[in-house]
Amino acid sequence: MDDQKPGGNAIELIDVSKTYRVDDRTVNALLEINMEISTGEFVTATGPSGAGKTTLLNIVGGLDKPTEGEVRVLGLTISELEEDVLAAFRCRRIGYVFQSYNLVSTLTAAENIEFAMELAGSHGENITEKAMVLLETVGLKERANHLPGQLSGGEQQRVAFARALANDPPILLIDEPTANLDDSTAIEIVRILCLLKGKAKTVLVTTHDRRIVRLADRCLRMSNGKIET
Amino acid sequence: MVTLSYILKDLSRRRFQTLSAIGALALAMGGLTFLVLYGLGLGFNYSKLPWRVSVGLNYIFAVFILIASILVFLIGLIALSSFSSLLTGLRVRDIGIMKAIGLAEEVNSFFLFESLIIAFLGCVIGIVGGLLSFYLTTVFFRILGFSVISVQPFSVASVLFILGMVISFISIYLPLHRSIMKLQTSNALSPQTMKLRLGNLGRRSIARASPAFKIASRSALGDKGSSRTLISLFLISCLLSTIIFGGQIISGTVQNYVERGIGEGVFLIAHKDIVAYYVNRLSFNPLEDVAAPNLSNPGYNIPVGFVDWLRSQPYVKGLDPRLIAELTAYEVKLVTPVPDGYMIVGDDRRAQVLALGVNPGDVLNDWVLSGRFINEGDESALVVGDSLLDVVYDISQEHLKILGRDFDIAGACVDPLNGGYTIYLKYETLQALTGFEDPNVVLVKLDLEKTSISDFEGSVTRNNLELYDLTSVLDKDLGFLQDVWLSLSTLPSLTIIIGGLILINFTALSVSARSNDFKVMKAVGAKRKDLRGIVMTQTFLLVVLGAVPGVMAGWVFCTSFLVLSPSLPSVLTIAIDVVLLAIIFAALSVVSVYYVRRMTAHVVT
Repeated sequence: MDDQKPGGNAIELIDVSKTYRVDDRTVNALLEINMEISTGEFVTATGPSGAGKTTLLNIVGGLDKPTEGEVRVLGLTISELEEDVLAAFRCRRIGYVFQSYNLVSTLTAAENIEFAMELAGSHGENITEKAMVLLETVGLKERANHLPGQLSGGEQQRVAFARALANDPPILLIDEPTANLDDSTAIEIVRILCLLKGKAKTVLVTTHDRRIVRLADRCLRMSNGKIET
Repeated sequence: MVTLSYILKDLSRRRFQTLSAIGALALAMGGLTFLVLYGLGLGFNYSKLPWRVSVGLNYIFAVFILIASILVFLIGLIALSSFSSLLTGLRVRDIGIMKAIGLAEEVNSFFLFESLIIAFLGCVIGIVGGLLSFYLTTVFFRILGFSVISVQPFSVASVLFILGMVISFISIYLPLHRSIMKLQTSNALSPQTMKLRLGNLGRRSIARASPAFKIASRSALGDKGSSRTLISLFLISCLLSTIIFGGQIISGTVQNYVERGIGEGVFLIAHKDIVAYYVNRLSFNPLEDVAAPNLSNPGYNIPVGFVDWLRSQPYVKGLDPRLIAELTAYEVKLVTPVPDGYMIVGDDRRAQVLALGVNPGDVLNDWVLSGRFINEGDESALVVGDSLLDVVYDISQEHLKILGRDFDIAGACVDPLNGGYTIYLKYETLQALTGFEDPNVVLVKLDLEKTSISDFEGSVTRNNLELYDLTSVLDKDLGFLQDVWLSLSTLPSLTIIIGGLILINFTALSVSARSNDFKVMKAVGAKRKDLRGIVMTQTFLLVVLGAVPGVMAGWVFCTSFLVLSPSLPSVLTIAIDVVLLAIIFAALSVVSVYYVRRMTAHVVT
């Protein structure tokens, strides 16, 4: 499997729908989505709350399964993969940054990054060095030994970025990275996204932040579980 | 005022946590109710039943039942208090939100009513369960032929209900109240709240360990909540092992007391009427009571010449001629000077006893003694059986009056003879008191390599006497104790089940409190086996650091403080116990893994 085949589709959604049952009501989070993202493309998804942006990200990342349709990531139909195979795939091929940071609370900033590398099968001294390099990239080298509870929201978000990059995945899925941050911290995140764009990775970001939308090669506008443009 | 409907909605939507707390309390209350009723109806009253179990032995059983009841309740309370702390941790944000939107006193009343509802439901379900179990057990025992003294289950249950409500309410509400009082709203709403605050504990030592081990060890040991989990696990394991080991030690010890009280390989020689009477008095569960023959009848005397002949036989290893008589022992009130005047110790209690005149140097029994046995110089001292202790207020100060003469009490022994209503005094003293001449009972130990029973029996019967092997009555008594123990073994079994269920429940809740971490790990690529490894390591650490020391502490308590002169279980029995405890702790790992799997079935964080 060639992760970076130029011109090929890194992400492909075919007639993907996701519905939830809430009491007796059916909620359509995604409705017959057809979407392609080319390798190396930087795409943003915008739209009002409840439009289905996070569900889209979760389905592309294999965190959630579609009710209908097919999800292909790097040529693999992930909607059909078994749980453990999917976990291994996600570990090596997808970097995920959550809106609420979601660092493992019992591990320090550096250890959170090392943990992701260990899950991908890397061990030894070099993962510590690599973790420090990644923390330096996001400007947090001096906070390497702090636990998530000792970091601010912006710092946790930057550690989450470093963790997402730990295994150098070809795809990055980023959920509202600046939503919970103040303006000056948000600029730090935009700076990191600029760096990512230069690395020719396939990036899908859900956001309301115009600064991030401006960075994108393409912008998907979502509403009521559908992609409008 | 917060309306009840909000509280009920909150509880029902936190179904897992609510059910865990109610379940733990119900198990503890059910166990307590059952054990107290069981104890009152059966265990505490062995000496009042037709059986002739001495007060000392009955006391040991009763103490065991009492300890088991208290331990079950303590296990429940510890678990409940830990649940409560865990739940408080999970509710910090909710408390902060409630305060932020303008609730003040209402926050307190909200959690006060929640605590009341949990305490009420837990106590009611537990007590109903306990009552039902007691009735079913009573029916079962009656079918087996055991007598059960009737108790007033509803009065007992009412008292337990009030007790349970007060204690459980306090243990649920207090941590929440403390949290409400101390909590800064801004802190509660900060994203950092609820995150682990790890001190320096173990950081250096585990710095080189894998992240998976770090997660496991810090989850198990790292913060205040984890320490509480560890302490709870230590205490619960300690209590559980006390029940398991304690039950076996008590069973073995009681049997050992009886063996020592009757003696192994001891034969009784007496007139057939006396044999029937003596054996009947030694039996714990006689089919019918044999009235005392006229013990002063000279026809029951064993000729001194025959006793001397026995003493000269090389195969006789021990010879213990006795004079037995039925007498009344009176408590003698004692006047003790005190600074302001005097104090009267004792009352006018009395008891029918079997008095045995013995030569202290010949006695073949090896009773468990408190104090000392009489010696050759003790003209005015005696040793009492354990049931007689109930009659005397204070054996260290008081006297007993026998046939008008005062005697000091040198000691007390656990005596299976005559249900523990016995006194032992010097042969000559009893001879002088009663006027009986020759011994009417002889106990003898034989070297069976030098003679055969049939040869020896021939020599005995030629003197119009009967030979009776006391091993058979010892076996019957030990068999009876086994049956009693079997009926009591429901206690450790029940405690193990309750303790195990509470531990499992507790583990599940602890794991659920960290569900977000597990979901994050899975989202960043952890496979099921990775999560399983973390959970297993975490449980292993908790077991090694909390449960194993707890089990060892329980063992030390049982062997050092539970009972006088304990008989330790065999290596095989201990091995079985250890396997049993290992199964309980292995079940914890399985449950933890199951819950983690269930919680991470949907990874969306």
